[in-house]
Amino acid sequence: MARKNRNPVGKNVDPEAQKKKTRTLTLKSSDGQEFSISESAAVLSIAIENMVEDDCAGGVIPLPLVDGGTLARVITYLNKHAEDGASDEEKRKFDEEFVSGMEMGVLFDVVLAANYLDIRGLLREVRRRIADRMKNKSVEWVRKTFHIESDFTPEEEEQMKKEFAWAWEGVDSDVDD
Amino acid sequence: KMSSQQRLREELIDRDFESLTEVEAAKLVPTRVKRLGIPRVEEGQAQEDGKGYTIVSGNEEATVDCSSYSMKKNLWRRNSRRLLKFQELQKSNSMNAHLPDDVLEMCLVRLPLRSLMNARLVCKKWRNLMTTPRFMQMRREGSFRSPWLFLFGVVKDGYCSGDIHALDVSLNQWHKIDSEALKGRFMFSVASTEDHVYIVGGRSSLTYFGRVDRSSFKTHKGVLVFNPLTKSSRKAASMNHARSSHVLGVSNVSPDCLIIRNQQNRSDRHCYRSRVSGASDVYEDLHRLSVRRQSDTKPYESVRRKNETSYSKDGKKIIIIAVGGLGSWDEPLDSGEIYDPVSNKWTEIQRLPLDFGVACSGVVCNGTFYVYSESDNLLDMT
Repeated sequence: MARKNRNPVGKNVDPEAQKKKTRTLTLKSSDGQEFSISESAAVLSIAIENMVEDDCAGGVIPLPLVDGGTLARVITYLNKHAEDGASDEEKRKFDEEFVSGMEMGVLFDVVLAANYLDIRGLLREVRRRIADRMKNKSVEWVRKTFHIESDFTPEEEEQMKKEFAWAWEGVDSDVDD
Repeated sequence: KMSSQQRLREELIDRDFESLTEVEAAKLVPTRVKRLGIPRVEEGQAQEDGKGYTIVSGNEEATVDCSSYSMKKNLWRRNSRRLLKFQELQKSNSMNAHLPDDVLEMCLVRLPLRSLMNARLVCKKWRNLMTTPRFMQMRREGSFRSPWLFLFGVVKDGYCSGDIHALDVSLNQWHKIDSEALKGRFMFSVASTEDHVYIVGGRSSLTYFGRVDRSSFKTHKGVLVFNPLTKSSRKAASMNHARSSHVLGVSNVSPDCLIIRNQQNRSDRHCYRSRVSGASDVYEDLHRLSVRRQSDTKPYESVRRKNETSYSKDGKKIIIIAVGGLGSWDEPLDSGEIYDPVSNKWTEIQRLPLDFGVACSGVVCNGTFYVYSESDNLLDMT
């Protein structure tokens, strides 16, 4: 169904879809690992779909910005979402579990890969998860997690804290993943 | 002492309140106030002269004079200086970007307000990223904002502190926002729209600043528009009449919601009222369903005409209706007026029916504005 929506021009969607299911593509990660995936799952990534359509795939698709571990995760996601029998409810549940165990670093890798490969559903899911993790955390926690150094002067920071004092009452302690 | 809430007026619960039903939201106010030790909302002198408070039962010392509002909070106003800075910074400050800006932006836009404010402190780039009009637009359109509940007009030990108490519903936390603008005002009415809180009319004392004094006071026509996040307020156009303790309604006007509600809603309303007013004797005969009646269609027609002339392009906009209340000499008013934020004008509408009594409460429900009077009348205005 999802593919139908994304591909409104295709008049003979069904025979085409059948072909896609049987054809496999090979994705190659930045560290040289190769993964086989059915075309119907791979084209859930708009970027891959474009490559396939432009016929520049030529058997192996190199993905120089995605490492093997991340690509394996992404492929798990794609396979689930291309699965025939999976109901929306099942997929939703899968999505939740898929992101819930990930550490912040992994989430960042996955969100970057999803962004690069243009996988809308995954992108949305991971963004939501990242935002969830940031809820109720201190500024210091966020800086540490995102590897950011403050460029505010202490005076500026003090001033801003004073201005919205209520936003810093009772945040969670930083001990978390 | 615990049962001193005999009058909790103006529980107009915003129709857009996302996750709570109206009834739940109304419940939230009194219980939270007690449990979390927010200063008790008291008005010690109300009983002594009894003026302006016809629903006063004999044995209670204090009344509650507060208004609670849910609203979706959002938004700082665009700041052009910041924007310029942002553009400079975007060029120079990309080294600590772990995530691309657009991805980061999409993560941050989902944060509840408090975490958002927190994230602004992380670094200048983040702050700038989160204060662009584009970001605000995304936040507004993506409905990522979570509801807040506001408590206005807290009177403690006979003085109006002007403090505003806010409950972040998503995190279940109370915050206190100091507001100089409200200091010394009492008996005002409050209505919330999408982004702002309108503080309409009310009184302030002429003798002791900030003291609730019923013998010497000034009644206001003025309207303040308060933005809770920036803590700033501005003045909107004044009403045609000075009012205090009047009934306000906020209506989202669209062509589809012009329907007159009837019987079953009235009984809903009835229960709602009786529960909130708690110990009050006046409502003991609730089940008698006495004189409630619907107004003739004239006020309805006049309001409807107004609404139709003021549609904005998208066919939906907010209007504020003010009805009744007390005038400059403590006289009950039977007039009403409608405010249109687009034209910034108050327009008078037809007066309340002569035998309607003093309007004491109102709520907008499914596009109908219900006004309830102290003499047990209910008026529908669509």
